[in-house]
Amino acid sequence: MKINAGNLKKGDFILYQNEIWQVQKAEFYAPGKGAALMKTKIWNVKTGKNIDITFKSGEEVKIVEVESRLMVFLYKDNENLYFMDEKTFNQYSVPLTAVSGLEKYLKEGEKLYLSV
Amino acid sequence: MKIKVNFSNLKNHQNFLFIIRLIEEFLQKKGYLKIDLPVLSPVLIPESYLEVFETEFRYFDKREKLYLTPSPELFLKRLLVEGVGNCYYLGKSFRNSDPPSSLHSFEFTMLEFYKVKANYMDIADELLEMLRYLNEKVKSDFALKINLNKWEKISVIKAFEKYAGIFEKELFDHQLFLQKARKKGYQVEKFSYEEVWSQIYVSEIEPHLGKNGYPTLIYDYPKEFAALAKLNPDGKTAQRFEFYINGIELGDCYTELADWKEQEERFLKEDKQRKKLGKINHPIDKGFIQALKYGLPSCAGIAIGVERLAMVFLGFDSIDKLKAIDIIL
Repeated sequence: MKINAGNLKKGDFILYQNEIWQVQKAEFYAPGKGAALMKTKIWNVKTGKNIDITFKSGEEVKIVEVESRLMVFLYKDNENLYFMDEKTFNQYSVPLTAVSGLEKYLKEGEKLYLSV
Repeated sequence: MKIKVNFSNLKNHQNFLFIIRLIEEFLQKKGYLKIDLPVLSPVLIPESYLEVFETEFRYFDKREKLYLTPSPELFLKRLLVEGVGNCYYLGKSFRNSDPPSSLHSFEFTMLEFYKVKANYMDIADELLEMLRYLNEKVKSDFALKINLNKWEKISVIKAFEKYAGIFEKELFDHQLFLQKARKKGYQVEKFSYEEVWSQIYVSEIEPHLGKNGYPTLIYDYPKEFAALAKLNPDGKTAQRFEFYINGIELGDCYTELADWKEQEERFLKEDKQRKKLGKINHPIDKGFIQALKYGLPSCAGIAIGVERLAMVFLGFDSIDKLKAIDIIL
């Protein structure tokens, strides 16, 4: 689904330069020169990197549909955390770079909601 | 929308009002005459990049459209034509379609002052003196972070070259500029030169301004961005500057365009653009052109967002912190 950047809001997941990012901050900005803009701070769900991107408010941005699912934490290795959806038994991996140290607080067998 | 009471901001709000008092004290000491003005007008200066608020005056079965003024310029320039001399307005202005944010409010306090027999760089000197005056009296931590003894002056041409790698030739040629922007990864299809220019300016230039220990004065914008400013002899740029502290734009100044024919042409162009963009179709202020015909003295003026200025001086990251009562979405 595509929306105008002017409608972006905190929490939206977007596709930007072929990667998935979550909007951390979205503020409308009218600099009084040319068009109105949308200043955003976005967070790369894979690498955990934060960047500032300014969109034209009429620019189309691809929204990534995401849902929250209850998962069980299975284990971790040097690169990823592994989870399982108890309903479907599908396994999911989450790169450690995306969780910025939070893995320390996870215990095997613990259940939590993941956005997929 | 709803009303939000921020009672804990009361002290900040008082500090904001103190800054307003200091600004007025400074301007009056300098001989600027204070003028209070209507905020409702039956006509406006057409400006394509902003939207206005429309309302209606009703008496018996008659209806007359009125518009909240986005700037006091249309009134102050009439007075300048009459010979008022150096003057200022400090009061509310209104801009529609800008959702509230840390730097924006659709209703805000604007300071606009004009100096006669002056150009934009004369205003720059006066402004720096005003910033120093505020800083001495406010005595905030801000003083430690920035040196107000001089401006860091940079032209728009130089700034695009230095911070965005866009050279003068590309900056003014719309086609070359859009090509360059596409190469840099910006979406340019369906967008105008002005829109993409603005995006690059905000993304790549603004974050560097007012961050080198001094306030930054960035000057001489392409003529596309100066509907009421006098052009430079190069024919490509207008005598407009903006000033920044810590990446935040605080004010916009230009040497006023006094040529009524040129002004009328620009009005018609802006009005056409407004219609194209589907903006509120307000009547053009023809009296403004008439006043210019009579003769605007050579002068320069500046508009400053007072909440933003106070926010920076008081060390806040949002104008919300200055408000005891706020209207929020």
